[in-house]
Amino acid sequence: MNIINDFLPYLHLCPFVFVFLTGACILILRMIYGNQLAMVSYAITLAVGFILSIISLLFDQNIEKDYIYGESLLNPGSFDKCILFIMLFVTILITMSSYKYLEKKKIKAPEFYSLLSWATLGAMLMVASKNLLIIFLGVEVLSISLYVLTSITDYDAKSSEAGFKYLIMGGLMSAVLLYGVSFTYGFTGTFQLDTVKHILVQEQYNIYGIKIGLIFLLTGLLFKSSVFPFHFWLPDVYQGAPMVITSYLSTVSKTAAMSAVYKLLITFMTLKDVWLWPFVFMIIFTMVLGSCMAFVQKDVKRMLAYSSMVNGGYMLTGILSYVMNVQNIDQSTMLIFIAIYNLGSVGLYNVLSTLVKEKSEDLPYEQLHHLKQFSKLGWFTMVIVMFSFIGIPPLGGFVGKFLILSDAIDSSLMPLVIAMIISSAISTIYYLKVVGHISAENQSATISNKVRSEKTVGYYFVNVVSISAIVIAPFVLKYFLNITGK
Amino acid sequence: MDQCIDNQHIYIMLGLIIVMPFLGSIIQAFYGKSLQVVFGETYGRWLSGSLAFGFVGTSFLLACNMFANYYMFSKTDPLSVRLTYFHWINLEQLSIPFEFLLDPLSIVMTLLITGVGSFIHLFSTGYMSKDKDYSRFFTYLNLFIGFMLILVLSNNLLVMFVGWEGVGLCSYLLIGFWYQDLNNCRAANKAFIVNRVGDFGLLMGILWIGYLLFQQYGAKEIPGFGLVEALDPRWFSYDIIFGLIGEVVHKYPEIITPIALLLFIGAVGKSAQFPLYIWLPDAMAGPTPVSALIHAATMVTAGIFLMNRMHIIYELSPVASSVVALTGAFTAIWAALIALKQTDIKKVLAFSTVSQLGYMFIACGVGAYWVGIFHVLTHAFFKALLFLGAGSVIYAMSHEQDMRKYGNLWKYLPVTSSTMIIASLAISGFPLLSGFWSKEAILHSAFSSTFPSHILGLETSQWVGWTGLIVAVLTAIYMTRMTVLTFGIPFTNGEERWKTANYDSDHHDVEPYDREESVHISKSEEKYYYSSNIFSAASVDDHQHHLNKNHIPQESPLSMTLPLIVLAFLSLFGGYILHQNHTLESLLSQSSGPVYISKELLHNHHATLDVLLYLSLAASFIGISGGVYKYYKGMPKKETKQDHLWPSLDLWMKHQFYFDDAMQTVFGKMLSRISFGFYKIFDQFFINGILRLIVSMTGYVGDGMQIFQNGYLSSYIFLMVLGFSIMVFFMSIMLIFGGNL
Repeated sequence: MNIINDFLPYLHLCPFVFVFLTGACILILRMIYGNQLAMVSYAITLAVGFILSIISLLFDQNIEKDYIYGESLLNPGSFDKCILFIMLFVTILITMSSYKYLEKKKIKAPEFYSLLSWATLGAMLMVASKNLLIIFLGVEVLSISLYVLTSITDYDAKSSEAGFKYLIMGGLMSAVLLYGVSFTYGFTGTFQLDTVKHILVQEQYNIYGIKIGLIFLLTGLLFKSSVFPFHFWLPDVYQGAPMVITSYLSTVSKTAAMSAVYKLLITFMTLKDVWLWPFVFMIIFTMVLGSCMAFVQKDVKRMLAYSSMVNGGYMLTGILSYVMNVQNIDQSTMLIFIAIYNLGSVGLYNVLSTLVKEKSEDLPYEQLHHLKQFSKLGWFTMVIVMFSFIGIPPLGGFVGKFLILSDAIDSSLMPLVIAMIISSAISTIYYLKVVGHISAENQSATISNKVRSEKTVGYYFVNVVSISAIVIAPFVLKYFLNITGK
Repeated sequence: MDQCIDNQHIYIMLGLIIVMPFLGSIIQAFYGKSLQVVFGETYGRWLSGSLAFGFVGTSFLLACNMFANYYMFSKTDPLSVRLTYFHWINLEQLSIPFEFLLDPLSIVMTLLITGVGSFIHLFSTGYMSKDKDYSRFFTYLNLFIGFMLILVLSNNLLVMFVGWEGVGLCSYLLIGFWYQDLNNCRAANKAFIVNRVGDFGLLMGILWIGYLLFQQYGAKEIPGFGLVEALDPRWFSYDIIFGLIGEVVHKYPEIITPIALLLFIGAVGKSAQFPLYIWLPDAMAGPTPVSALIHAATMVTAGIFLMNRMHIIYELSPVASSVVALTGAFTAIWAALIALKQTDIKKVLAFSTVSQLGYMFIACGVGAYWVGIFHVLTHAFFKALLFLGAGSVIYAMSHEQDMRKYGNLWKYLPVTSSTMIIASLAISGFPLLSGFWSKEAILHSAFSSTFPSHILGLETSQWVGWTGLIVAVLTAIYMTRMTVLTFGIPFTNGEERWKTANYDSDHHDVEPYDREESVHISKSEEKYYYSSNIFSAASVDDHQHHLNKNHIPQESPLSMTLPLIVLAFLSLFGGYILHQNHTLESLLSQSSGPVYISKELLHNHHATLDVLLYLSLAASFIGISGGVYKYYKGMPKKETKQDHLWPSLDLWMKHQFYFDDAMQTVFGKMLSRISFGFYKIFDQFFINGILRLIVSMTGYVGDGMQIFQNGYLSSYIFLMVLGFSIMVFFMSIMLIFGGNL
């Protein structure tokens, strides 16, 4: 009993520890077994570790503690825990959809899964902490893992190029972020965002340096969330990265960045006169220009890169509406949108990963033809996900968009509402284009069928989860939202 | 109105009567095909047909049980119960429950629908036995029965409207049952669209009534008292309407005529009266049992039912009543003239139906509403029989419908011909057969009534009465013509006629313009083909034609002859049974008896009445003997020729006095031109133009942004730094202006 009581203050660290250990375990397994183990066993290791992490995450909630170790550093609230849950779950799904793809790509590197674990650890740190330094640490852990993962295919020049570009730009922006952190620390004397907020309320605008710090902080995080003027890395990296990593970039990485931006905005709410309108314009550009650019793409992966940028714009709209009107708006809107976007994307990339060729990561629209004969389930998943992204009523995507729009109206952010509607309308075109191409049945059937990889249990599982998440989300989320406490 | 007699029992029974056909339809729709897979082709079909018949038959038996329990032995005070099943629309100021009314009118109609319906289902199991879409046919047919029951049983104008539209839908589906033939689809479209015209009027009328009552009796803000709630906001329910409408009309006498006329437009559409009758002849494109059930016996009488249901409104408006009577009389004579010169056996029957429906409207127009229902019943017997008989003939003659190629079928089809002769005698008004009684009742009520108004010094009722007599003569002539041509006249040149007929020509009576249009649908026409050609349709069945010189007609199977025999029995004695001791009149007097018209108006003594019996007998005999005299030697020479060689008057009659063509020109062609213009201007130019503009603008913006996406790291970093600087710049401006931009 005593031991358990001693252990209680550290219980909230369990999810992180498990994720970290999973990565380490995979490397140890590699050391023990050499090349004997198939990729699927590493994937299973990762999944088991992550499931443990999820369990400890859920378990932690019911325990009352007098003293929590490192409370100021890592102490996720219920909202953060929901985000963590989504991220862990999505990573498991990505892992399940990955091993066959990796075999096809001849990536026989278990480090892939270690890096994936540690990238997730970084993302979790970004979500769970309210300490600027820990957030920065998370950003770095996430980014460095992703630089490697992006360029993990050694024979593909595009992949290496993408990784290199990501590294250079990410490095630059890490510097900017760190600069912002140091500015903030210099003028407030603390890394704790709560304290910063407290100081801002008390001092009433008098600290100019903190405003400069805010600009740098915001820039660094908006780069991660690929908001308009900092989005240039996005299509190149998405296109060059292996499909599984593209999936990871557009889901977990994006979610973590959004979560960090959300915390930043909450903290700097009192300074909203400074950042609000530039920020609103950036979101507007993100949504409208993003969808315009997605419209003209000829490659599905590039199109989806811009699509994820646009969806990021929607998320930021939701976040901003909440931040502007904390009393009246529920956090659940963000959760719903993020959950449905993530699960939909995972299903989508899961199907696409079976369609890319062995040697090249490019995916022109024509390569989608004949999906219906290849896999009925995959076709159905794509259709459902696309319809959900468009926002066709009974599906989850509609619910998410609708809630965000109504929240934005409640917070009287009309420019964002209009921009969101315009970009939604434009997005219909390119999403439907995908639906048209996957349903086409005219040419190049034999060629593209050959390069398609086998369908595995993971493939079916991810598709089914994705479809059911989108279809039944509006009903199930009611229960899910009770966890958040509002 | 409500009586407390074993309500629970009636509640369940009525629910079952209505649910049964829907259940059958659902089972047919989902399991019809699988039955054929599981039990094999033959047994599966047998099972599927039996199920379809079984559900309607069960409904019929339940209705009979109910009728026997509550109506047969309680002539003095027939039951009238209102049964609410669930709330359909429930607003603060408006409540529309899904409620049904069980009264003599609705139970009589229910008996008719389920009774005749089940016989026709039985007939169809034989007639459709070789069709590949066997279960689809019964899906529609069962669904039709269900909607028709909702129509007649509802206690609420809007619920009735649900049934009204539902039967329209089923009619559409069944006319276009053989959808692979373009002409059938056109006929179906035509029926649906023409009916929509009527339905629009009906809906306007319904909403007007509801609005009127709401305005008068709805919740009101009375100064000093606050809001006064309405007691029962079921503004569309019959009991509420009939309870309040008299008072409203007393206040605003002018408002009732337009309402009545709007309702009548609905009836005109559904019951195929003069301007809107044009869909019914083309509706013969559907399978023959459908023509018998929907386009003769039940659905087309919905208009008469509406007149009866809403008779209080018509009693309050003499103007509308005279419009009803005159429209009926005009349609009766118009369609009878056209029927004289038709060569397609089903078209003769179709125009005959239009003409007989005109008769029923005469009765409703002169205030004898129950007589309309009387004729609905007898007409259902003999016209269903005629259609089924025609179906049997067509079945025996390998789907040949041209009467000029029939003849001498008496020898081959004894049951069919004897039953059909009974039916045609009945419709011709042969004494003591069922048509005689109802026709006599119509003429009697017309001549004895002084109800609606005066035209040129003579009462409207007299006008329509004399027209009715003339139509009686015409009816007898064309029915005799049809019978003689089909069953009589053994030989021309020593051989039976189908052996000498010319098979080069299309036997299907397709009019020239139709044939042209159905053959060439060029690409240019294709795009507005649906808008321009919906009004042109011909009665063509989609199936193989094997009629040749060596054909020997065979009598139909028992499943087809049994309904014929039953209906022949009803055609013989049905009218007498219903008329004897004023059975039907006393039964219907509660629901269809006059409320506002005085008895003196309806029961005047007129000089004609003394000799009316002789007049109508004379009409019948003149007609029958005239027909026999003209046709007993065979088809007159001039009617065997090609269409364009006919004398001009005959040609006019054959072509419906070109009324249908004129309607097609005006509405089909001209309207489609106008619509095409609107399509070009608004749709193509404005809306599409705006869309194209938006799309191309999106493309330009995207392409423009692509310039920056050039793949060079240095340029990306430059742009990001530029963006960062602009952001900083704006934030500094915000800082300076304190956010008051």
